[in-house]
Amino acid sequence: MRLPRVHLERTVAPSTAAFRPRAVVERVPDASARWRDGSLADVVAPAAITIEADHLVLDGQFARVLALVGLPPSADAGWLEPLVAAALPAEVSVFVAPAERGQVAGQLARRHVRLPSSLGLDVAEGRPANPDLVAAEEQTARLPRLATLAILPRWRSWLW
Amino acid sequence: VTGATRAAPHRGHGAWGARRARASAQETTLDLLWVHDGVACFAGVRADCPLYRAVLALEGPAHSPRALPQADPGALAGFRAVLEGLDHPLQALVRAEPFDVPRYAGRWEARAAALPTPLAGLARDHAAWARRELPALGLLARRAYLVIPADDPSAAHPAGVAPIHARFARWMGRGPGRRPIADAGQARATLAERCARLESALGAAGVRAARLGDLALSRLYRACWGPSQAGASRARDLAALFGSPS
Repeated sequence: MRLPRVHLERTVAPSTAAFRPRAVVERVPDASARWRDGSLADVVAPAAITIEADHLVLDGQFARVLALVGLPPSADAGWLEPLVAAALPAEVSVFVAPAERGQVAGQLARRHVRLPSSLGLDVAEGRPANPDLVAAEEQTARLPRLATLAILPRWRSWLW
Repeated sequence: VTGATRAAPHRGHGAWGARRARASAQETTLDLLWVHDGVACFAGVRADCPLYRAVLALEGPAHSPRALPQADPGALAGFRAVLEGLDHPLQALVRAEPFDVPRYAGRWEARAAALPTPLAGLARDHAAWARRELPALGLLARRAYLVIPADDPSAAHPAGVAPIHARFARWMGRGPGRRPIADAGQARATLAERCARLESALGAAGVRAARLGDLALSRLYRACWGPSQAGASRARDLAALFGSPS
């Protein structure tokens, strides 16, 4: 069974009219008898998806996706609790994947080279040092040493 | 949810076709092929290599995350062991769903039938209070899930977040990229083994994990893709499809 194929079109100019889905749904029938002529598609698939520059509209409900960046190298237990427990109708998604310690240490070493370069550029152009960059530089300076002690995690994560 | 949306099957072949499939934001398919035996199968980018997913619903631990280190130090060690022993990617998802007041109140009313008279009165009062007051509060219930892929462990990066050199190698056709399992039977066995291992490991950390069946999987994807229409009628339709009571 295949779900309806959704063609998405960007609008040229924002419309002031009432909300009207800008997606055309084209049904692709399925031969499987279990789903009774694609009725699962009718129930599961959204009627329309609209993808704008900074948000989505799923069945008339507006949604935005934020990627969390600049995470600290370590965190206490429950550090995500304020985000998860807040009275927001938000979903939190964490991707975790195994990684080799050598690969992680190599990336940290490259970052350790990049950050002083960015800080040096700020100084050269007379800008005040970015405190986030300073903190990141201090933290990455310590981490390669930790890698030799096999303290680095054997996994990587992304948070949305 | 992982694998829920994929770029449309590309029209071209080779590197140009693959690049176009990833870059296009204008044309998207939601290619859920089937849901069977607790496995959701998606078409993926390549027609001959579908993507298989299983989902575990999580409950626990008993303590809040901040209180956990003091209340149950072993649980943290258990979580650490889960992560250290991980040999495949996974997605942890926390969804916020509207609190089901009728179900909550209904449980109290059903319980009242089995209680002695004074307690039954209290239970009915509480159910009536819940029906009267809770809908106006807009309460949310958090539910946690783990989405487990059957892909080869070499798929170390979720789509879109692989390092630039890995993406470039994949674009040039040199990198391994994702290596999905083409055989459904093999994918089912892989998912069963991974789910069983995670259930056991999480159980040691005080978290109960239960694999979602066909109906629950479909409901989850329905709720993710159409949040405004995940109502009672849709739930009844899904239950009718799978021949289960809603």
